[in-house]
Amino acid sequence: MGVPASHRRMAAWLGLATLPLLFVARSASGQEWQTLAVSRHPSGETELDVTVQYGAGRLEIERADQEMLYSLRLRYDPEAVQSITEYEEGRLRVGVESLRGHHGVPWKGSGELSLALGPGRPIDLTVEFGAGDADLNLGGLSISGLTVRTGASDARLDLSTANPVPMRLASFEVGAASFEAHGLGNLNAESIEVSAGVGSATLDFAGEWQRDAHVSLHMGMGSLQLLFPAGLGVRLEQGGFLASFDGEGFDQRGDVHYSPDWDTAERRITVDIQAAFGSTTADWIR
Amino acid sequence: MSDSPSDRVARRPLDGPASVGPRVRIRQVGLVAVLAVLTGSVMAGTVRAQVGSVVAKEVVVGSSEASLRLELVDRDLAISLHGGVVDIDGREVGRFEAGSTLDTAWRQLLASAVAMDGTALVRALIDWTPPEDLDGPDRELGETIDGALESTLASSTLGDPPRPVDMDGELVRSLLSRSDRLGDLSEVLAGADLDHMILRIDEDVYVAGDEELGTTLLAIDADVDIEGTVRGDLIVLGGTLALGEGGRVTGDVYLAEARLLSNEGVIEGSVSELSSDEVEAADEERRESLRDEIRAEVADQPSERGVSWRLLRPFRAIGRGIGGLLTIGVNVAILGLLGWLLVYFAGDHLAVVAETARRSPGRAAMVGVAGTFLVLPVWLLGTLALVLTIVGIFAVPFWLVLFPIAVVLAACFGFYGAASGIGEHVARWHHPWVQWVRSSNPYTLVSAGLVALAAPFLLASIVEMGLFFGLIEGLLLVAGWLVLASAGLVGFGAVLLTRAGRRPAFHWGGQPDDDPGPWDDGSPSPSGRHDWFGAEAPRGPGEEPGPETS
Repeated sequence: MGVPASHRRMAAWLGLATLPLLFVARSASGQEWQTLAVSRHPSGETELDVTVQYGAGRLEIERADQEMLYSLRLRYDPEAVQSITEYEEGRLRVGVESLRGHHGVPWKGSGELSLALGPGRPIDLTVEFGAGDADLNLGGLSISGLTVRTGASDARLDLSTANPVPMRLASFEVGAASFEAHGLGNLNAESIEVSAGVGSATLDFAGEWQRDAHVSLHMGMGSLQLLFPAGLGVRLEQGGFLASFDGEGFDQRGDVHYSPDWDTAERRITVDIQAAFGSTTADWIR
Repeated sequence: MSDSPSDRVARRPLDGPASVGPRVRIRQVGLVAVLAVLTGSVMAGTVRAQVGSVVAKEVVVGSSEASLRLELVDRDLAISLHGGVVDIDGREVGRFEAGSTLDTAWRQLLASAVAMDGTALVRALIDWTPPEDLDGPDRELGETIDGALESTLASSTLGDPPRPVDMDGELVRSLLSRSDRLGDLSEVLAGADLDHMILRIDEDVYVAGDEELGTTLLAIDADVDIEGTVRGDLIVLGGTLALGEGGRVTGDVYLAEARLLSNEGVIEGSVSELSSDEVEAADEERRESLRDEIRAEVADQPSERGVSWRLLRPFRAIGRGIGGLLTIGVNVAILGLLGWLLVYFAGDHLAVVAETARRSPGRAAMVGVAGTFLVLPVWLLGTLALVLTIVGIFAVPFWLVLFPIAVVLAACFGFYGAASGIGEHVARWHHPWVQWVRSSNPYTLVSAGLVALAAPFLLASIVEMGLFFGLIEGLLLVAGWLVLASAGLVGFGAVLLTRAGRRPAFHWGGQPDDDPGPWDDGSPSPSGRHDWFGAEAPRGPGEEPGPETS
């Protein structure tokens, strides 16, 4: 009797509003990080097929220090995502996938995946990365195939040493933010394809070129910086809409730009650029 | 060399592998096996079945789980402490309490195991023993786990022969306990010819001037004196090397924890030194970093007093939520004080802005958006115009500084105007909870408006206390910021429309009735109320007249 009717109505309203939530509630105690460490020694594998699927956080891929087949360390929120570590007969799949029914904010916090791959056998590597920072240090590894797909992320690829096995295609699909690739000459790839959406991309073609190659670049909107080592024969052609090109040290023949030593260079690459909006700059590494 | 303590072991000339005694030979095999595995040399094939019998390792360390799974050549081993249950190979062997001594000790072992592989991992697991202070069921449980580890690993990995743990020498034991150290050692020895070699452990080596070794020499914990020729590599792990006059090494020299006392001879290859301190320091730093990280992750886990960590979770969430509420409360209070000052000094103008924002929010918002977009061009064009007039150049510095300040002040003024407008809506709610909000009292209107604008954030803090989705908390926060931005735009537009409240005719002149706006509730025109200026405002049933303010 002492409680005003309006208070009772308010209490009832609040109760009704919160009731459905109680059934689907989860602890709001924050994220509970879990560390997973997995390693495996080689047992006769002649090659390795690696797929990395990582949604958000920090991703590192590098050469294993010891003679391991692979070694990974994953830091994740077990209430939000489920770890993936599947290995069978030379096929490795690692990463995380969202738990069904999880409605939290998966990008909250800072998950981390560090993967080290053993040298000594050809690796066909596919990386699918969502958001965050990615460092792919593939120097010292034998890469027979490379596919990198990133979303809104800052990704950096570094090939510090020459890839000893030939590669038919290296493919990079970059969504937004920035992408840097250094030492692309060490890829030993017959063809390199880069498709970038929005943001900036820096492609450094330094390295030990073991073959002629074709490079195909598709840029949506943003800036593209190309760095070529001196002595590499470069044929560069750009098309697109409202896209500018700024390159010093090139000879222009029609719509095509050539490096001065194109006709005599030991190794040559042809670069086709399709850019919608944005700017492309090409520089030489002295 | 004569000063060396190792001289107590009689020197004797080397005569090749055939001269090695049986005891030493067994140790040779063991050490070569370990080194071969580590260096990946040709001999590794036979040895990999030993150390490599641990094919794969999986360690999970989290707040609710601490488990280890080993895949060996001939069997698997899985030990898990999860949810109060201890499982070994999928079979429940007992129960434990989170945060107990056993739980903590097991977690510490796994924290180390995360960074280990190979022999070091096996060694660490075998060496693990339950804490001494365990008793009762926990003691038995710890011994069960220990027994499972030892029975599995000892038979599968360090079986007989060879058994590296039997090797003498602190250096070797030290090496075997550190996988990363061994990894670095393996790099140093990667180029050494380990297929054919002579091994000496705890035995000094002397090669006389007329002697010649036809293969690689590996000396561990030994002093090596070379006056003759070594046709191969020379590796010294612990001890010293003296290369006398006439001494000659045709291959490379590797020194690990060893000193080169003299080099009067000839080394045709290179000299590589492995500083144990440097490597160990780097390894330890890396490992400690990893341990710290894992400790931090499980820091909330154990409580020696036995209080269940999970029981404390809701309190932590409540604590965070209360902290958020307090923070928002303080912010609202500070903003409220500033708002009261504004009411005190510029109440008339604020009332006009507030009424404009309340009655024509759509128009005000559009003007606010347009004004926001035009701020920069106007600033630049104004500067240009002043420059072009020559005379106005002197005013350019003032314009550059004062214009942005004026814009910021206008935005703030508009925000408070919008808050007052919202407060007016709150006052018309006629709910007992908001009886303190009176249209006749601009101070309460500003306060109520600020509280209303902060409501989404307050709700988000309440939601954070528990029971609700993080998603809802996020949505509330997004909604809160959107409301704030909208209020800012509407207020800014109202300031522009009313010339900072100096043009009450915008509303008072009858336009409000022509454009009541979406929030209009059909109340009497402001021209008939003038709530802030002493006129009686509409009140709810039973509502007492509020204090008049100036």
